[in-house]
Amino acid sequence: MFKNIGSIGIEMYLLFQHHTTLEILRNVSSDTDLFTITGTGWHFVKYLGPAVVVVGPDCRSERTQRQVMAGPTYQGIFPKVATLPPSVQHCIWMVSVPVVYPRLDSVESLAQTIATAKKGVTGTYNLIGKVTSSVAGVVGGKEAVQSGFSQVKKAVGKSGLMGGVLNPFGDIDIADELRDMWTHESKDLERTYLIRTLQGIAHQKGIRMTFLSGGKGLFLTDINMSLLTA
Amino acid sequence: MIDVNCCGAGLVHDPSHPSDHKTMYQVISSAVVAAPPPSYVLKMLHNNKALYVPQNGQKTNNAPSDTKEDMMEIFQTDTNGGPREMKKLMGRRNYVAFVAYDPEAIAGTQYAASVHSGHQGLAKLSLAVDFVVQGDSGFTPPTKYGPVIIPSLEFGR
Repeated sequence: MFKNIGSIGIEMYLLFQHHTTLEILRNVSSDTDLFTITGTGWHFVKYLGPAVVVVGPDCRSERTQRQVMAGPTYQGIFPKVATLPPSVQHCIWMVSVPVVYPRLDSVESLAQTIATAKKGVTGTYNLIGKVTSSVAGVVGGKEAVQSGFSQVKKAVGKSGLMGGVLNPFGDIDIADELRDMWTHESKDLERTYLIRTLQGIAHQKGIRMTFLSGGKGLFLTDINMSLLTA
Repeated sequence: MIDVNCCGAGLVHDPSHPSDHKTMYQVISSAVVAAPPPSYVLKMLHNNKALYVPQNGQKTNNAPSDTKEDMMEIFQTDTNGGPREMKKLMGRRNYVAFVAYDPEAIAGTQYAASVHSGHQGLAKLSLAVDFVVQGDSGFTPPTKYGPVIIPSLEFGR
């Protein structure tokens, strides 16, 4: 059943992000539009004139708890970039989640920030608490929301690290979203591999590599993928 | 929530070899249809912890290496013109605009590039990235930040 959700996710990704379907793609034999390497993710390499290329690796379809993309996918995409014509000067990588991003993981800075921002946090908490309880009250699910929250709090807040800054919805987000980040420990080796390989290709080809990221929330597929990994 | 719903720019680079092949920029933009991250999260992200990329195949331990990670401080003022403490990331609705341009052409005369660059074919192009950010009121014009300039890479550098 979960597998089915994933494949529907890919279907929707193709439909809404690329205005195409698996059936159409399977009947195309060239790589000028979307291409696949593992049969799961669909990627593109597009020219914006002769000097600028946009590479769009599919960072959703092959995502698991431990990887953003499968190893063979990298080994299929990198050669395509390394063999771009000499007119290409800039290569912009559209990766939904930022590769370069500050970390939240320092306990010291966390403690420090909480000390100075406690007032703000409490304010936010109250605000959110008010809003959620009134909404839940309307549908008669106030207690369900609260008990669900304490369950999650038990599970996520066990370490005590985030205990002081949890809120009914934020905690779920923090655990889930942090795991999705390139900067999460589970993606560490993959991230370094991506950065180091691109530096190598840049050196070899004289192409400036740039990452463009941010709008992960725009992709319906991600919602499905987090269901898959939940 | 960390999904990022904010905007900003970062880079990985080798401080002892500025703008060489190890320099890669990271442009972050998000429409922020949902709520931006709460300010305490943004605040925690504005730490000055030194970050380094290890060699391939090694786990990150942030020991100094040839590739350092930094966020650029491009938000010096807030959208209302007031001073701003958090200069690296901004949790407001935004978009970015990329413009490829020939830096030689704008430095000299209008036609300088084709005469001076000497080499045949295309001039070396830089990318200028503007961040356009919405203020508190939907009726005030958006504020432009940047540009972040991404230079081309000279072959062999």
